[in-house]
Amino acid sequence: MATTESITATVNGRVETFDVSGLESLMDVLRDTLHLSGTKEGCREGECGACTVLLDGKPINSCAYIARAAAGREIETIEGLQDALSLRIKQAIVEASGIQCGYCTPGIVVMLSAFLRRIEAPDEALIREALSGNICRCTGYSQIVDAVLRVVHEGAPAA
Amino acid sequence: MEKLESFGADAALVADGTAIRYQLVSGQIKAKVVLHIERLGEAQGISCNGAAHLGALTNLRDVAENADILKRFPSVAQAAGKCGGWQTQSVATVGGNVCGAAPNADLLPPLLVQDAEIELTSRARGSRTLALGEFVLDAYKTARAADEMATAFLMPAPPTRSAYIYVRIQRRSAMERPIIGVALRLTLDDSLKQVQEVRIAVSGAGAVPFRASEAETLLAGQTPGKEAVCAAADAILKRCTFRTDARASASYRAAVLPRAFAHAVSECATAITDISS
Repeated sequence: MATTESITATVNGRVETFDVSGLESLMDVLRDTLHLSGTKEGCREGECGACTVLLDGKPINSCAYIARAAAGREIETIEGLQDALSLRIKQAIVEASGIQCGYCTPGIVVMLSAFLRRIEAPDEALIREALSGNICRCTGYSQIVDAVLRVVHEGAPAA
Repeated sequence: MEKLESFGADAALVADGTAIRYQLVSGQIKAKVVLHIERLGEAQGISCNGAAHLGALTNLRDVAENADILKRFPSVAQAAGKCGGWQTQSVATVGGNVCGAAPNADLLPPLLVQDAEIELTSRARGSRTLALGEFVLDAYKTARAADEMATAFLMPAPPTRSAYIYVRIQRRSAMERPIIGVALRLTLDDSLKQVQEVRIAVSGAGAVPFRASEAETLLAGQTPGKEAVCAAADAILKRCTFRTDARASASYRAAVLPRAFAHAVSECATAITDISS
């Protein structure tokens, strides 16, 4: 069953061809084969959101995703999110002290980028709901939510 | 479909996969081949004009945000929006949640109270539809034949003067499977005082989520006050076999279910009165 196959997908705007084996997760391929180590390994079973990446613009847990199913699709990781909106989210998290150890932060930034691209002016309840799949053991979330509210209040820049 | 026919029970069907990669890697599920079915276009999408047609490969985030489902079948949208985080919902499908047939599957109770049917399709025999209550046989066991896949879910248009709710008892407010789930569809009569019809489905209270038909009969024609609701709750409890697991004890489940049910009845009754007056 653990056969190796070569697949092609767009990763952060570049067409990449790479080998995937058996049920290898997208997270492992991104980190170990493509050396994009900004995507973090947390629980490895789709609970914690540290490995969040965008697949065709939608946030997914890459640890639970079978890499070969990503053939032909568009993947964005934390390294590729350099648009004005994503940069503003990163900056706001720093300003609001939304980081302690930082391990969950890439996943949170990816999630928030997808969220604010689609919903420009969410309220606090919706922000908390959108972040419910990202677990942070340090901050208690309040500062992270404050960071998002900061971006929303000043008018999120277009992605 | 051709591949499914030749591999049959040796195949694991994966829409896009939320838990199944882990289950396959850890050996909880055994399969010789994994068939990726996410891109089968005909099994995707939502159409809703009174009755609703949900493609089995529609993802839960799309169900949770669909304007028609939110308006006409809000408890189905609620359940989809409570099933894991948004990352899970972007990938998880209605078909996957139902065919997984977990004792606490989120979509099952709200679909059961809407008399949902499942459409199953095979290459050899074409399509058939089955009432959802007949499809789910036991914990993690369904009536799906090895060469079939779920292609759609059909919900008939609900009656007027109805309200729906899905109450979920859980340890955290997100990213947690329910301890107990109660879905209700309540329809009041013209006077808005008596129950014309009620549909009750519960999860986490037996091997699979089920309709509590004895309680439905008891509550029909009654004023939904404390006495009638207590009698109906007792009838639900008679059908339940609670178990203790990591999330909660059997006695906690037995204690909380009647309260969740009473809350559901009162919320629905208030909602109908508010809309109709």
